[in-house]
Amino acid sequence: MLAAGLSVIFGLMDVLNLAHGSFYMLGAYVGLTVLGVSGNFWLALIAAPVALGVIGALIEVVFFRRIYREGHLMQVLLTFGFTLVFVDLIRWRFGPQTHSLPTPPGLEGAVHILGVSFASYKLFVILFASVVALGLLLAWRRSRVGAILRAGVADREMLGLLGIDLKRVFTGTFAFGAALAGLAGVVVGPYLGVYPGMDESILVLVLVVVVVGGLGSIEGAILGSLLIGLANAIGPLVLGGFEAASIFAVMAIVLLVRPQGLLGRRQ
Amino acid sequence: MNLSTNSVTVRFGAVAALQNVNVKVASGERRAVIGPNGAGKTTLFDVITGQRRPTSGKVLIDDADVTGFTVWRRARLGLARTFQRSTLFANLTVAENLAIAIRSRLKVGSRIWPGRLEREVGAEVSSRLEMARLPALRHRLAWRLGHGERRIVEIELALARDPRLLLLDEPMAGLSGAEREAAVTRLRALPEAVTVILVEHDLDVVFAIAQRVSVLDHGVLIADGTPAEIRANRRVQEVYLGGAD
Repeated sequence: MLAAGLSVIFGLMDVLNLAHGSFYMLGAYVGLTVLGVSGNFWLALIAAPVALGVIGALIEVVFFRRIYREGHLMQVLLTFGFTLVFVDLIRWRFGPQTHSLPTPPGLEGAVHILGVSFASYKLFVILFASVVALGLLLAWRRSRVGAILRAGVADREMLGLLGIDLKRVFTGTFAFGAALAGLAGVVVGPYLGVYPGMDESILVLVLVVVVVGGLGSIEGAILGSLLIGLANAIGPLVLGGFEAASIFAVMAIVLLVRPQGLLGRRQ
Repeated sequence: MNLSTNSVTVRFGAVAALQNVNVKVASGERRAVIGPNGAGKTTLFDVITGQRRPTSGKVLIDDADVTGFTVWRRARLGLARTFQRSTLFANLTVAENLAIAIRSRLKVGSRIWPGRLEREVGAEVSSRLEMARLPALRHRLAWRLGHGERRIVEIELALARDPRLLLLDEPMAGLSGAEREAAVTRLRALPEAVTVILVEHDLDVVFAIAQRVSVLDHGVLIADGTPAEIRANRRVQEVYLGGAD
């Protein structure tokens, strides 16, 4: 979910958004707050993407719009600045400790499948992520907006010449990417915890996924996540304590064979 | 739709790509812009579409100053263009390419329930592919098209905006003789109200389509007149007709 947003934002808008991890963290904290007030996990699951969509749209309109022409260095500086500001704001408001999001009622237990037991919530996460991935894929391939985004990744100048308002497309894309990141933050909250710094740990992983999958492609983001997820799970078993090495090894191999990523756009 | 440029100058550092260019194109006119490579023809197109801001001077569309307008705002006024490089969305099918332009024109994007309009879009895609004599290519991905097919779809993509002012940047480059004839026929069949500005090296094509011709050389407009006048102009013969081209 994170990779899809980051990949399309980069592919379409040519913006490297290091603050994408912060959106994920902010989503988790919005979830935490809403859950604290209402006690309802599902409400938190809806509130986080809505809040992050609004925050994303504001940030795009106020800050990003000014720096599209300034090149990647400016973007990296600005978005890195955002990560520092957000993490400090969170520390100031919520403290440095790890909070846990309670598992929603009905999903606390375990499910036994073929004699192996799985935490119900993890199964829910897998199911939820699959549904979101499928929805994204359908929208990307079949919808009108999907066609405009795919076209924009190929040639956004031409999109403007066809009379499409690029500012609106950019703001919408950025807000939607932020909303997806916020949603992901809430979903993983119950088993990864909510803490300042969760943004950094996920950002590296997501960047690797995006590079492996190929920029500007939802299919690439999905394939990349599966591959890196597998490497992350199998790596420690094979290499023992080298899980970080295993995902970067996958990335290095992919980059050697296909520098544009597995499903990256044709240059 | 009429168009004029008022003393348009574009500088890249010390180099002036266009110097004080004044062009007036009447509504419904077929105008060709010719000149050697590097004369500033494409830069002139970029200034008209809004892809490049002039260093000084103004662009007027239907007598209104549009110099500060964005690319898409001008496109919505009824301006469309093609490029020398390929500009189809490579990862989309031919039908999807055309549909984006048609939807943008019909403003389908702002409808919540576009059912009826979407059927119109589909029907128009079919009829445009018929007109371009390429119905079999509907579901082909754009990057799989041959060079000639691609150029013709590009022209059709520009036409799908139903433009009132159409800018064509070397549309015939790389086309075979038969493709060239088909493209000339297609362009001559455009509604009379459409204003066309054409950059083209093939002078047979220029004289077959254009009512007036403007000649650029090193960013300066050196002649402007009917095809017969241009053919007879000594300065044009020196820099262009008799030159390396």
